[in-house]
Amino acid sequence: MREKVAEILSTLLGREIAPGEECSMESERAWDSMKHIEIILTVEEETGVSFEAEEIPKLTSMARIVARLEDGGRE
Amino acid sequence: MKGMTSHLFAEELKRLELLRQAPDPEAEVVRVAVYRNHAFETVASVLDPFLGFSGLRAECEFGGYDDAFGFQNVFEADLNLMWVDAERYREFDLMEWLGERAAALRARSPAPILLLVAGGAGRRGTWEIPDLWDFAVEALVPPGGGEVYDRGREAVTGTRLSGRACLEVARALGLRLMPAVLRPALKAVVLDLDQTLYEGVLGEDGPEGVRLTAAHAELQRHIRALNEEGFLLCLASRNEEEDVRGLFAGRPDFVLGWDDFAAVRINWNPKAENLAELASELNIGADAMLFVDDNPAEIQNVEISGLGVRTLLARNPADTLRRLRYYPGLLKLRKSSEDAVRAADIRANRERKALVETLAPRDYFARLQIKLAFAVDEEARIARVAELSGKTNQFILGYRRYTETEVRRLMQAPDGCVVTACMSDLLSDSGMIAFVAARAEGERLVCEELVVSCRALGRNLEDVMLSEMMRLAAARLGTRGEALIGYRKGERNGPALGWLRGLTGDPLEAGEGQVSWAVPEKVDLEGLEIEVRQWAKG
Repeated sequence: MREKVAEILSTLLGREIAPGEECSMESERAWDSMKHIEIILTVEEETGVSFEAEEIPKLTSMARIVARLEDGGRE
Repeated sequence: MKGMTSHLFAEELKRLELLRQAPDPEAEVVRVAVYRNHAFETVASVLDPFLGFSGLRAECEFGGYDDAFGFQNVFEADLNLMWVDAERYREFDLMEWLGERAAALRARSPAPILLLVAGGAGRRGTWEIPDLWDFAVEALVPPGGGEVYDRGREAVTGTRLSGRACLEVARALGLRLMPAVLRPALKAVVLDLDQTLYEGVLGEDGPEGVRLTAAHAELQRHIRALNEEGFLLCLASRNEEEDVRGLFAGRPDFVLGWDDFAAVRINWNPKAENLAELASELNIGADAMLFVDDNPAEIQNVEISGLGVRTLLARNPADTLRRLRYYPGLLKLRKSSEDAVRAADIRANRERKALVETLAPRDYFARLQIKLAFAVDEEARIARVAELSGKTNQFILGYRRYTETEVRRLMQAPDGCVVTACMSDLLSDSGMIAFVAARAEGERLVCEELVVSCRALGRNLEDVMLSEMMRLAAARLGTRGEALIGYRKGERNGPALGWLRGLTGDPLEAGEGQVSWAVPEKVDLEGLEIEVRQWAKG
């Protein structure tokens, strides 16, 4: 799952992002609020998972997205 | 556009695949001003992959969210987009009010307007505002495959539209609507027969043996509808013509009939050769034709022929139908009465061609009883002038690509005028086939655009018709003596430039410029029946 999310983030943020890398809204200049929506829509589409509206603002790093996808939100 | 395009026409669109597509640095930039009351960003982010298919890319300027559509800041743009969620309003006559708001935008911007309304119960506007087209968002999203709305997500995305709906709207805008507004439409669809319009091989299965599946029938219905919209249909098939005539005569279940095809090439020659002949017979550019064939080798041979014909590989009827539904250039937003007469006119052209080769011009004019009707600043011609300006590629000098609003302004300006010409003869009524757009600069006439429909070419009429149009423009604007004729070299306007070289003796070496020409005081119109109508400035 981490590989899939890294692939999505690489495409959307325009740079190669390794699965083990730290990558978050704070560290990525390209990850603004509009890009965040696009990342969420793409992750949902690619994984078949639908996030609740209230959890979307919290999914602001690769680690948090992967954790949510793998075990429901525990990092 | 080169490379893989399957993801653009896929039954189910994937945002990641679209975003993977590298932007085309050569694409022409379209400035889109977005006026909205809900978020458009999730559509805009995937617009360029679709626009890239037509060699375009968008640069969007976003207005703030504004339910009042007050247009406090109007951006300079090539296209205006009004992006409306109807659910944000109380019950009242929304479409009428939106028409008023669109008229307010029209007063401040000459660029075309696309008005896309979500949640408007499919209602369409009944107003008549030039260069404005409205669509219900729900109609742009194909049925099946998920919900159009995702209300739970609105607080995050700023729009009620689901992720899927945003992708489908981007596809509709990028492949169909924006190219229809900004680019000339295609003119003809050239079809293969075996395994394309039906299942089976005519030469092996016989007329009774080939199968019209439900999907093929639906495909034929769509092609028939394209014909009714004004697109010419042609056949290019490796078969015997007699067999093909027998097929259409013997299969009443076929939706398409032999008479639906304006021209056919049924033989064993290379298809590229047949396509070049069809373009010549129809008097259209090869790049205005879409060739549909199930054989990848035929498609490849046509692609490498250098003709510029667009191609569509018919993999299966459902896929072919979807591609035809989205293919750029197959949506006509500007319709005119000329669309209805085009096919008959093309048939008549074959007879005219035979006569023009054997008779002197005056005898030819008289024999065919050619009538030219000129009109100066006639408002009823505005839509057709914009249409002709938008789609003509061969006999066009300035490439101005006027919108209806620009044509109207030119007609109304004290120093501007538009002269149009309609042609009819014994064989057919060709409708409006040419216009000259001119301005007065002091005492001198400046022709900023001159366009002749390809259907009117080859009748020895260009010289007299255009000279008379220039004379009428000069008389209208009160100019005297030398006129300046503007031109711009394009990829396909060689015929117009050749005519201008012959007329003025100027080699036209610059990429664009103006050449001087003495407007005649009288034009020899012998043999022609002439009518001239002047209209007051509106």
